[in-house]
Amino acid sequence: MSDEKAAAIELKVACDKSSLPSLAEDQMLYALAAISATGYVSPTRVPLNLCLVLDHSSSMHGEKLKQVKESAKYITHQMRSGDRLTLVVFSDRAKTLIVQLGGTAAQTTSQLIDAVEARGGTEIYAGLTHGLEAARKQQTDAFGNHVVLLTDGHTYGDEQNCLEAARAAREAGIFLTVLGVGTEWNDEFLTDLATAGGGVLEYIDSPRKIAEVFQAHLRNMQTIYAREANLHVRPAEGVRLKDACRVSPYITNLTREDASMVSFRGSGPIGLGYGERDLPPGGDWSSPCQKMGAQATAPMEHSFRLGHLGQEADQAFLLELIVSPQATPICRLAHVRLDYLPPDDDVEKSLEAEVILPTVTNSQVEIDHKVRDVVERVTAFRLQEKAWVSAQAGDIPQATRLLKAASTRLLSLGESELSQAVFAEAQQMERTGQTSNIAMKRIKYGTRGLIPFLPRLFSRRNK
Amino acid sequence: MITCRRCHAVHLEGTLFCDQCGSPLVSMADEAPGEAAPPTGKIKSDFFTSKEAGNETMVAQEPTSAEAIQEGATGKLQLTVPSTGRVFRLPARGQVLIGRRDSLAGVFPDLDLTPEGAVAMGVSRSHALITIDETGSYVEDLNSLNHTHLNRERLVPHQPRALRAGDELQLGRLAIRVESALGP
Repeated sequence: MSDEKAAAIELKVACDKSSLPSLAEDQMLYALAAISATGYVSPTRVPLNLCLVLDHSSSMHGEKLKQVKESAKYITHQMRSGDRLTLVVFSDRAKTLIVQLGGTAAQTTSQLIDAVEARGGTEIYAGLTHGLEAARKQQTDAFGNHVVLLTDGHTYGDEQNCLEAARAAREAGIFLTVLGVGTEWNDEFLTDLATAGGGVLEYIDSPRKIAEVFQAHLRNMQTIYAREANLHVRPAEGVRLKDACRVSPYITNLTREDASMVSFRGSGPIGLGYGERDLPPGGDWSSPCQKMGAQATAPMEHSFRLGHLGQEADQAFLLELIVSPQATPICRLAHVRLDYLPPDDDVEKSLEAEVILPTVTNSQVEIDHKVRDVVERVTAFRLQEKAWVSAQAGDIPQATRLLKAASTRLLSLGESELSQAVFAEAQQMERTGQTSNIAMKRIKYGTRGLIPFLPRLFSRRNK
Repeated sequence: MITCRRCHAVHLEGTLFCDQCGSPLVSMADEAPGEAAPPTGKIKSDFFTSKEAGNETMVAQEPTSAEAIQEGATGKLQLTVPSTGRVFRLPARGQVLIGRRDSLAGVFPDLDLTPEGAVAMGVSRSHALITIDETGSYVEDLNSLNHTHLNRERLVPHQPRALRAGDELQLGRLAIRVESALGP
């Protein structure tokens, strides 16, 4: 039977301006590139090879472990024919608890999960390598291969090994999602780990939300409509890509892990505006503005690895383009292309879109307020990110100033509750000279989830 | 180039927000002649402080002596809605989001105009923002669907305009008078 319709994939581009004023100087143009699937993706279309790597160290005691166990049991019942599920638990050491082939959980599954107790320390490398190896054993090319790591704590001394393992797995087609529960986990390390593994880091502030997050990730993995997707951005001559960041499903800086560049004219690479902590030691990719010299006008293609795309998490990217006066008569400012493999076919497909704007000589330029809204949200996100960097460097006055600026933007966006939380943290920091771990995570992961439901961005008005 | 009028950082034309202080940037080419300058000083909002202290409707509160409104070019301001007679006193400093409450969408403006018939009058959830600092009071339309008018002139979204006693604001079809506040 086949009343299933393959998902139609769309690549849309919208700019912050209706036209480009003709200027004698460089100007900024914001373009929003969004990828989404319309139509129905059958949950059975993409067989799943899923490995859950669950922390059961002593800090998981109580409600956290209880919710994790319930979620694991739920997932064993959501597997379908052709799926493969491996359940790994770890503390100081790791072991495989369950290997489930197909959609039927064994009768002993629930008992095995219930028997897991909280004890020991947190050695993420032990759990991660065990989980990745388990995923590798079950891996075939036709499967969506995912490892989901859930932890609530710090790991010590094995961070670099974890990153290398995640990177190698990604190269082998296994993607890693990281779920941080509570407030004690190492935010910076787990962010890097998720990035290295080609997935996302999700913050779960309350044990009650564990099940919900697991279910959402499972739905996304079961509705993959594009595999091994790559987004390519090729600015026209006289146009440069200053910065690019993902704005949906979360606002995140794109890192070196995501990007590569190819010159079409053989000139040297130009820089992208990566987050400061992503800079390599030589800083060659840093200082986007400093690298915008005259020699950098040759067309360059910037490529971003997106991994597998699931229907539950539409992807969108904000591209910041610098348009020089030489480029303005062209109108065609950038070419955006998405390459991907369909879920059930190994023949690569492509979608293309152009950033095209008419040039006008007067100042009657209409602003697209939906794109402007996205830019404002990204601005709030970046301000709070800079605040944490300043706080870590001991510059509390600068950190509080940046947090208050972020608070103002959030207020303007109507995000009153988050705005108040940010302002309260700024005041707290001013009084005590210290940052609160809980507030930092709440603000950081609150601001990165600020982008409204994506289809609204391309509808007419949403007020 | 555009210079941020709050922190003086320099940006390319077309940049929408200052990456140093987050302020909306206005191209010199877009600025209307004679338009009052938006706030340039550091905002010291006491709105949140007061709210933490339990004043749920900040703008409707009489300021305490500790919150004495600064005497200056703008003086003390209050907003009066002629259709209902309600009077809202603005804080000495800070920001006030004006709109209509929508708990499903998570929008809780500081000045909720729902009792003024906001829906019927075309007031958006996040309609306008009033900023009060040491340089004066300013109103900014937040790209509302039915626009904000100041003295019958439609505001360009996100471009703050000076607000003074005697001004008339119109949010959608809801008229609001800006007056000098009575009392201390």
